[in-house]
Amino acid sequence: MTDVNLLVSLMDVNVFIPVVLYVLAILGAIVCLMQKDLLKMAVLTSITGFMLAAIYQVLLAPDVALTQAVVGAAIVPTLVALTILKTREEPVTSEEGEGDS
Amino acid sequence: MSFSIVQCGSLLTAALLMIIGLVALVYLDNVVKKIIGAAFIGDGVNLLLISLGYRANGITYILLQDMNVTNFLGQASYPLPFALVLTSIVIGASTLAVMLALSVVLYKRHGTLSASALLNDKKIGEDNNE
Repeated sequence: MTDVNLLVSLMDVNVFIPVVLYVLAILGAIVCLMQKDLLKMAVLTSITGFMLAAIYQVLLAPDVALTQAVVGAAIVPTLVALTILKTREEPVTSEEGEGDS
Repeated sequence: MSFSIVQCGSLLTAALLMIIGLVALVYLDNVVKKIIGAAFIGDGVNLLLISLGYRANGITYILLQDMNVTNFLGQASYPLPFALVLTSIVIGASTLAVMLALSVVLYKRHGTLSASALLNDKKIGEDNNE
């Protein structure tokens, strides 16, 4: 009986949307850390940050959601990407980019 | 049942985020990935505090003009951990920035960001002797 009740309550939109957000946040964290390319990792960091912002909105904390959306989805990936660009083994020079175009 | 499914799920998500961050801190080799793991631990702690203040079928903790105060107190979520987490998010971002800046300095001095290569580097021992 409890299993049936659990399934029925999972069909409710107010429960279904948070569960999807939880799964996406966890999967985003795992995929981000398993990534070989460090620049892709920096971009994928924003998935977890943005999903956490949506979770905070669902959990009735809109002010925290605003701050997390700015910090987690914009500032942290930018900082990580800047660090990775500064610590590359072979830095991409501007002449190569111009030569390709 | 005092905990709703949403609250149980958010507590579980917070625990999994902390576990993922801890595994990344211990087992991954790149220093930048270790730093991101530390940031995930902080996110997990923030989510834990937020989910403790949640109330099922509640409303946001803003008292509008046409609301009854008694009903508001019965329905509103608990705002104290939210105010603390608001500070904690900004502090987490700034500590992340400091850690990343230190890793840039580490790369400029030793030429690598791999933790195992850094531990075998002779220069670190020389620095300790000086």
